[in-house]
Amino acid sequence: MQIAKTNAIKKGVIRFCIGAAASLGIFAVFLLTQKQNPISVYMAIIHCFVNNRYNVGEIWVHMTPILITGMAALIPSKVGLCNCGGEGQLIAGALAANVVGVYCCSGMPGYLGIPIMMVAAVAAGMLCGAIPLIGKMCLNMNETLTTLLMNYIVVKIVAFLVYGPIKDPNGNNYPMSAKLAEQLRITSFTGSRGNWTIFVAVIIAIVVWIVFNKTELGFKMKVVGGNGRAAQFAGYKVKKIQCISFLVASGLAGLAGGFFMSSVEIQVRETTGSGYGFMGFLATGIVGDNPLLSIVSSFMLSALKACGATLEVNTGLRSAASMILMSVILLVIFALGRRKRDE
Amino acid sequence: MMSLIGDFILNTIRSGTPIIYALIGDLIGQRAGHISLSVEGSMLMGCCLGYTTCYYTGNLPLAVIVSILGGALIGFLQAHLNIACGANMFALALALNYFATSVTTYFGSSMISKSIKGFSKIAIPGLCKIPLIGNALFNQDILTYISFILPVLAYFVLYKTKLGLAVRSCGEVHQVAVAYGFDVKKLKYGAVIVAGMLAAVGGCQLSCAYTMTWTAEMSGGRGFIASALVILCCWKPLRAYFAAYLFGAAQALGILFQLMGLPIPTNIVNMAPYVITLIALAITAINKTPMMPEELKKIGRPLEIMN
Repeated sequence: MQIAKTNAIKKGVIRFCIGAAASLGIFAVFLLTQKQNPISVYMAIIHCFVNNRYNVGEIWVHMTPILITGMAALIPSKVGLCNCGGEGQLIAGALAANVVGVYCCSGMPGYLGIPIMMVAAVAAGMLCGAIPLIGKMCLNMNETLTTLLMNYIVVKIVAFLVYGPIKDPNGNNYPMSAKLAEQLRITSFTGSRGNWTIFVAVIIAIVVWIVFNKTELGFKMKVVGGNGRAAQFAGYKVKKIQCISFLVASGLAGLAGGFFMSSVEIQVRETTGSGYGFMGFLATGIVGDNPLLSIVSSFMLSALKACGATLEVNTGLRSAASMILMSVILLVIFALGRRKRDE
Repeated sequence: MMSLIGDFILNTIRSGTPIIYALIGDLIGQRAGHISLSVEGSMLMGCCLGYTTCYYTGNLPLAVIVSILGGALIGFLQAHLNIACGANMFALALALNYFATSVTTYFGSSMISKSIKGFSKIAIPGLCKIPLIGNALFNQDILTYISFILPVLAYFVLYKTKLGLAVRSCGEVHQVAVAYGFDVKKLKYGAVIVAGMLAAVGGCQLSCAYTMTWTAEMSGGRGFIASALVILCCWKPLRAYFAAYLFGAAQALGILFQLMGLPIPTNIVNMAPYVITLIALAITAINKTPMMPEELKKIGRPLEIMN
């Protein structure tokens, strides 16, 4: 069993490397059609991060939400549910953190205010996850579709709020909420927007790995996800385990939103947090739901996301080009096949 | 008042048309046992390719064909990577949507704020003068007219032909298809590719006939909604009219409120289609119709224990 497991991880890593190499090749062809020299573009991508504190910090900025929402997709998938709603849960968390921060905690010191904001963010994420979860448990509604629809609903709610009720009265009529008070912001590393929340994200991923691989609870959860009926015969409370996992996951996505708001965004906009949830879902999807490999994959995706803007300045490629590279990598890794479960 | 109701019906039809295409497409795919959420991506490809082709050549049939090819590409990737490479259906679909978004954002950026001469309306003499519904039903572009017969066509193919029986059996008991001498794998590929193609036509209609503009990510979740509406249809093509125009009506309601000057914020109104789809799904779930193809019931219920 142990050997099989290391083999599987080894295979995953090999697949990941081949995939990355193949997609760089495909993207090179695309670059040639755009009259760009692939080698100089790839050098430009690497150059983004050499001796550039700000750009390296941008990796951590993107990686925190991507990794945490990745976990929010991974935990339910282990218990046989599908959470595509990380996007909406993250945005709801960001919104809640801002609203609570601006309207309740503006006078509080940071050590008190920030935790309260994070609790609000977690609660908002959970609320957002609870609606599809109730649908799933009571009516057996397809949670993939309901969580996807929830994403759009949350985005519309945010749009409504920033154009109306929470619009900053001193904000020159821009559709943005008020900024968080100075002491409620998570301080960045010097010279960049990166901050300590990245450590929390990595620790969460490691804890998730430990839970699934070293604890009885994790074993139970995998049994529930693997074979619900066997789990029932074994006397596990299948629905309870599923519900708690889903709520914890959506709470985590909310927390990611809270972190993002307090450290990077500061104020709510229409586009706050958009794209991170989907990216997180894919970051874990391409590594076959392995928490530790997710750290690597989300690092890679974040680095590509971070270099988009610099790439546009240095090579003249539109920033969507880095999105194309990301999507090619994702598809190639899918094409190489998922790790067989019985191996 | 009459003109308000007429506008409402017109907007219902107009908003519902792209959905009908994606809905029927995904319905065929789902009958073959494959949920393609990537119809969202196919639709976006259709929007962008149709618009670009129309802008450069002005040739509308060509625009439709190019859109269909783009949608077929997404459909093929969805089928191939899932069936042959064993990728997770939903994760793959999201990756394909991301692919479509990035490619169309990149190549479409030069199309923003360019105007085209899209599909013009063809009024059917006499019929288009019927009060209330005449303008909505009989003064439309060609793609909308096709969408009127599409569900009937899909019903005929799925229920009245041997091919349709084989496709349906792929999603239920695939031995039937084998017994009729069909290759199950090919049928599944075909069904999913057709899903992508039809969704792309819907996208083309959206950009070249309905809005006549191109903006990045303009499909705005319509593909996901179409996938959800398939459940509302209970996997029956003729109910597509009801489901798609329910969505259309939800969008038209927003325009109606604006015309009537009601003080309801647009973003709340824009939320209505998604909320209504969600509620409709819940109602379908309460009725517990045992219509779901057998193969779909297996999705998300892996039988063996993971590692």
